Amino acid sequence: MFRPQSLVTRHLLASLVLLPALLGFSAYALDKAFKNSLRSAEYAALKVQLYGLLGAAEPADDSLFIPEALTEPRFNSPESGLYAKVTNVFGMRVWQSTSLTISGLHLAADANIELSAGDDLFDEVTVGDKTYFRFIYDTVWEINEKDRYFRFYLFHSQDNMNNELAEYRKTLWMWMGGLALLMISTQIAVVYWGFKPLKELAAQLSLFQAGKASYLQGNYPKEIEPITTNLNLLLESERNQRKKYKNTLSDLAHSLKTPLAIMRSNLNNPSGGLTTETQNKLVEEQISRMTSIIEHQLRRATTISTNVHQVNSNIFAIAERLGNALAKVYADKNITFNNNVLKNIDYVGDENDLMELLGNLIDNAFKYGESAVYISADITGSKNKELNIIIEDDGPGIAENMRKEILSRGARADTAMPGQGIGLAVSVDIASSYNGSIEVKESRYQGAAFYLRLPMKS
Amino acid sequence: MRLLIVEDEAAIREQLENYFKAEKFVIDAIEDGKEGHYYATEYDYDLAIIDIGLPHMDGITLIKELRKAGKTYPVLVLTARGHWQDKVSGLEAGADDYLVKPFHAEELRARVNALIRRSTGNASPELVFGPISINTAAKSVALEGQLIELTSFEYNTLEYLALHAGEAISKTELTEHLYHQDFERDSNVIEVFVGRLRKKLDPGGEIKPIATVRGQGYRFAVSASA
Repeated sequence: MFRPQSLVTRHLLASLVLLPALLGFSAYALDKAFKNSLRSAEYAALKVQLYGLLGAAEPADDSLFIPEALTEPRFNSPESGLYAKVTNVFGMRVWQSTSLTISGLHLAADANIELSAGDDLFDEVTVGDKTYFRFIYDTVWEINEKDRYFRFYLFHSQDNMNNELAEYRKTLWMWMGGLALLMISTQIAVVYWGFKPLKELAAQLSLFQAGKASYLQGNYPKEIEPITTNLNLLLESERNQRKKYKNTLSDLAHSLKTPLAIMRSNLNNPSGGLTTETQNKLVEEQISRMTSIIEHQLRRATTISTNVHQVNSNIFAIAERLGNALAKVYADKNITFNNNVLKNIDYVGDENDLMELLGNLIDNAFKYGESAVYISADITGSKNKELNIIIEDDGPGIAENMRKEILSRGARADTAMPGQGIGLAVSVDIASSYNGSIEVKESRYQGAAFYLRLPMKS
Repeated sequence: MRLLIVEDEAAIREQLENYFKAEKFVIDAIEDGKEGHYYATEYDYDLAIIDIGLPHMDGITLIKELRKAGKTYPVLVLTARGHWQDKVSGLEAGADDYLVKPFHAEELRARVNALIRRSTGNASPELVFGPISINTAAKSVALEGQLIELTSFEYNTLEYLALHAGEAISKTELTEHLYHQDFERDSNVIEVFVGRLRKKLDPGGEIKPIATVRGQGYRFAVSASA
């Protein structure tokens, strides 16, 4: 379909404007150059005729004698197109060619034109409806030991040149027309060929829309490939996200069933040997449990990376922002935050993910630290690079048998106990979405140390 | 204590308002950011609770604006999503603490108490002034180790004066921070409370904890030992 807003039409319209302009200018330039060369040739030819006349002229009785019949036949037949005339210093005729019968040309043999001896003048004159080349040459002849001044006029009709020019133009326009047709058809072919991948892309997209394909297939030129690759990435991550939401929803529904069942059984069996206070406590406990289940699932569903908005995130800057913010929150504890991360360490990932990941770990360190929190980072490995971040505190630390449990606590929401944070489990989730891991060890400062390992993209 | 609450969810706002009113706080509860901005910059509070997602002006901007206006009272920011990006933005804008929704009223109360205490330069919830000790967490007052009975208005008056110990507090300031606006300002109720407090805290008239500063108001003036 030919749409005025289509790229093909735009390209063709642009060519249609540009092409005639280009060909027109070329034709004009060629025409001008040809005309100039004809003029130069004419100048040279008339000069040759002049030399012929000078050669035929002989001094006689204070004047010049030029034979009636000359070797150039065009001087000898009337109105042949080539005419000559010689005048003396007073402008009086000394000689004229037999061909010169046009009275107007006598007027064009104008004695008022100032020239020095040995100089020539080459121009055009119009007589009646005809234009002639005019060649004037002044010369001094020593006759009887006296300098005599003579002026030679040569006229040549432009008929020949005009015929030649007309012939040339005819040929020129024929070639230009052919060239235009060739260029336009090539242009159309090139445009359609060039936009073919886009058409294919559109076709693939409509297949996807119709549900007949789950991603964009086909080989695309390198200008379009990033679009299709990213689009496929987006589709993939969107699909994953949808799957994640679906899983979260079903997890949520399943895990809410237990507390609801406990409350219902309590409702069905109101006496049950429980005091009102115990019953209230039980309901309160279940509500807390449900709240933390909802919070947990919500955070899992919204924070984990979609692998689409990945940028270079500076670890020092993120740690600094978190540390400064948390120092405010834990102002009562007077904790010193030691950011030992080198300023040039960047990680390609979603900044929100890194913020969440480090936020939970640093918050944990502030919560349990006695007086100081430390964060350091380095990059290890040469081919498969890894970012290693250590977050430490000088608190009571975590007993060895609790170290694994603390990371998975709350990860299965239906096992979470009231009051337990889910932050660490969320951090573990995020780290594993980047194929990384978190390990708990003992800190150099006697508290807990969280070792975060994140593989880097090459 | 005078509290500003800016929260657009009516249920939470009313719950907070009722809860803190019952705790004898003076409350201005506002539902949108622009109006919140007017209150936050026009009046002086002991603390503000501000939600991040507000209509007309978001909570982060509101906090930045009130700090720009030179207000130094503590601000607690409420966030619904609980993302670190939100928490950090709030704290960077000038908030002092955050709380993720949904929260327990008790937790909020504890944070509010801690922030108010911290803003007046006290690290511990226990304020000790010679024989008088005030527990701001339990809201109890003891004289030489013996708990003394105070009404909540009396307690609030004492707590405000003790948190600003050494400063002269005008009657107007006390009224603004302790009583609702519809309270009759020029009544002598403050004098009555102060009179009762003096009797209860210093039955023998020996330590004279609350001094009258002529033309300026009152000053809590027992040297603090903690």
